[in-house]
Amino acid sequence: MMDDSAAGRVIPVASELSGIRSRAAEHAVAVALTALQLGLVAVVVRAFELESRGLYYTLLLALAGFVVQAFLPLRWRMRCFAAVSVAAIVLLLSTAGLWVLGIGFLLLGLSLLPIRFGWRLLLVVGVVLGLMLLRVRVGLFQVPGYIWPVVGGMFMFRLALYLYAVRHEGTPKDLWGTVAYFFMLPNAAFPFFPIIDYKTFLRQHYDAPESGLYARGIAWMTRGLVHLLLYRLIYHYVVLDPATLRTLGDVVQYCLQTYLLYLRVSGQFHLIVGLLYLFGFRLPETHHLYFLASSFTELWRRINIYWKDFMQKVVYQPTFFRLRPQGNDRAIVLATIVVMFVTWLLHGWQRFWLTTGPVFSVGDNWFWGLLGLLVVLAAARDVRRAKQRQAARKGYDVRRGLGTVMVFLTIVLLWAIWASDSMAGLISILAVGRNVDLRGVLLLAGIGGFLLLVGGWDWGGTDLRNPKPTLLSLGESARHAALHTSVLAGLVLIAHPPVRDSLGFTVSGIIAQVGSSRLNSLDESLLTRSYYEAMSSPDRGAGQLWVVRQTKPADWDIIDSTSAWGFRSDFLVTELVPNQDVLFKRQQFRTNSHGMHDREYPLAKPAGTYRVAVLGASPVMGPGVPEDQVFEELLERKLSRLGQPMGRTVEFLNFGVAAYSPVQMLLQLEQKVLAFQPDLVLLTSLPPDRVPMGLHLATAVRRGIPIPDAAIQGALARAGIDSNSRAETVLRAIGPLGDSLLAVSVTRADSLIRAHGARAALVVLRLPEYALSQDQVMAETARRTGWPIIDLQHIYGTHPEAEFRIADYDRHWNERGHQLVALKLEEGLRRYADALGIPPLWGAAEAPASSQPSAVSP
Amino acid sequence: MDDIIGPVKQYILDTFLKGEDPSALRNDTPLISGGILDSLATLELVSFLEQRFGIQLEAHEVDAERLDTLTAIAALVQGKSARV
Repeated sequence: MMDDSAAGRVIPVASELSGIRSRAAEHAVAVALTALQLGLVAVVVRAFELESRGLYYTLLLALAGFVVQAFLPLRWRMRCFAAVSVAAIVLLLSTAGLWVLGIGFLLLGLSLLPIRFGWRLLLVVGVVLGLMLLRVRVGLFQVPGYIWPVVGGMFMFRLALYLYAVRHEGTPKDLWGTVAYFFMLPNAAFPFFPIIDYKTFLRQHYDAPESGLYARGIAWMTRGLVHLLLYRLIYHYVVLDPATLRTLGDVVQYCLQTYLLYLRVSGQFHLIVGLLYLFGFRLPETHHLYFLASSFTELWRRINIYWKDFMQKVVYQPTFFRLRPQGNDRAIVLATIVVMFVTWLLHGWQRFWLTTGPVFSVGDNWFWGLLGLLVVLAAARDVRRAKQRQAARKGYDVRRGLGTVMVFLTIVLLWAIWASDSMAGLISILAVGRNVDLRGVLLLAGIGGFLLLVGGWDWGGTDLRNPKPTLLSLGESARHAALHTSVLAGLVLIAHPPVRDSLGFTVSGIIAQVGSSRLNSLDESLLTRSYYEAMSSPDRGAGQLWVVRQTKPADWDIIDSTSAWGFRSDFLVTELVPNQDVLFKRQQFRTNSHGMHDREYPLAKPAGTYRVAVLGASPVMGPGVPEDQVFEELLERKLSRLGQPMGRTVEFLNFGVAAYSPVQMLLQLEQKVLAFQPDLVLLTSLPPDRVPMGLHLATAVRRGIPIPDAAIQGALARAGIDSNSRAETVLRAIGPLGDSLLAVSVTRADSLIRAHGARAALVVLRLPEYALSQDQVMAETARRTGWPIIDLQHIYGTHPEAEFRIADYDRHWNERGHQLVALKLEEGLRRYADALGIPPLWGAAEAPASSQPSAVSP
Repeated sequence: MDDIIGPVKQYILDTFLKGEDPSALRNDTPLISGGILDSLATLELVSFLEQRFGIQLEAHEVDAERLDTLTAIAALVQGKSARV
């Protein structure tokens, strides 16, 4: 038995030990539960193909890093995070990551030089100007172009906050913290990143209990995943092609979709900030119920608090203090004006680094101009009301509800302006709203009523809540983990094909669509037709298309960046330049003396030759495969071989040009093709065929090329189409005239072909994983004209269509795809041999043995 | 410290937290990161501190590190007062 005195000495030690053991056990459990949930987050990202594959790898690396750092002493954790961050850059960008690290350490080294701050600043600015030059002159010093969004994401704003801190607080002593700050995980996977304050980043590192930080991090990451999935749902099922708007309901849906697509940014920011919480960085809550802001100043604070804090620190407060002698109220309003102006400028700066499009767009200017005006007016009102500030009303407040409705509808309209290429374009969209329909009225009433009802309540305004995470007991950690694990595991489960398919046709179809990184039909169509490439069009912010483009290798050239692509001064607008030999999509791309991606052919048809001219867009041109593997070349070789015993030769002439519209094919037929005396003309259709017409007309307007059609000219003029207008705006402007143009292209081509004694057929194509289109104008016109239709839209059978595409980021056919097309086209031609007057060299004896895709060698 | 915290706390309660329970505003209650002080309110607080305690604040001193809690505010005022 121990005596009391002994007990008095021994018992506290034992309880201390027991306490330490208990805390260590609780910590281990919290780390294990968090690691499990982080692992599930990674699986969800993989299962739903969320963002890029790089995010999945980043999360796996973060998972390993998280577990290691969680058991390290506090002083080592920042170093661990810095190491994981640097490793992520190398993991995602491989050797190009060394460029990012080199540029980063150069800037960091300059800012740490033991010279006066002014000189350091001068050196840093000089290097940044040099980097801007490299950014513009892509390829200079062989710097890979795709590092710039990452470099920009890391340094374009953080450098300013870091130098601001150095200027006022002196050179930082925590070098590891500074390295971690600049190369911050997961920036390599998300170039568009919240602007995290340098001092906040260091000061609030593990300043709250670990279990609470981890739980909040997982909660926000889960919320981020939900936002990203909702975004996908909207992207695939709500987004309307602006060219197809017909009623008020369509207009309301279109305006809503532009704002709702912002869910992607809030999802990304939640994932980023949540992941940083797992490494101990307590940061502000991002995008806190921003759909429910009841004033513009509140929206400004909620929607991106990181931007607001950045502006407040480096612009608002310095301006206010400078102007304060003029009076506080005046200084506040003037400082707000300066903030909104600088915000507009810096969004241009951001675009410069993150995209390759124009730095400022018409939509941007209108958006920031109008939003700035509203925020300044709201700030002036707040200043006036500050004198008689009232406590926020608890419970429901109808004025707050009305404010929420007003802010939401206004911001939806502003977002629609931002998404437009011109005010005239937006006005033409809004004008469609005059066609009032029940759906439109119900949509407006439903949105207004919902926001009035929900927005009237107080959703986290000023209160005395403590935002710091608290220490969680074992039970609380377990309950928290159970909730989020069930959500995450549920998502993993429904993405699993056997489970998904058991949910019924409709639901499984939706889940499959949401769980795929494929583009929606509108973006798909524009991307495949090189719309974004040929137009050098601005990227659509943080859209799905951007992800696809980001995954493209730097040397995956675009045709208009090569010398093989040229502009003309007539309505044909574009063409392939003759006698070029360039590297395009990692393949040698040669054009002959007639500007065809094909071998050389004489104009005069040799005796005993059956000549087929194939007209079309990029699928016919054959990007990314060797020249002798394009389907028309494969057919030419095979049929010539068959005809050899009879002394006959077959020629297939490739007139394919990227992004060509049917109208351009007609002009090409007149100006180039018929001179080759073809026996058969194969006009190809890649529905929806209206899209490249928009591109064609928009490019013509942009280059000041007269449009030789009075009706089209009038329609474009009435819609205010100018050189900034996008293809979809042009399409909407010409409306039903678009279909007429398509039909006329076929009938006029038919007259020309007949006049030259040749025959014609329409070949309908569909690239792998490309949605079936309802656009049948060309096919219906061709059928009425009496042309055979060779429909190759269903050639893939039950095979995964991805096997026939050239790459994840490019849906043109690979060699196997071209082999399949050649096979199916030959079948089609044989079927219509009589109608097309094809000579008997393609006798039934030489018919292909099988028509299944499996017959095509991989 | 209390001679600074007292008036500041009263000012915040009277100006930004009308109707709130005074005991809920503790010395470590986050004011900026907790959403009690927005940018406008922060500048109003700065004006109050300058007038009440006869100090002059610089733009870079107006941040969450120095103004997020009553304790931090008191330390800032004390430091500035010592330099006056």
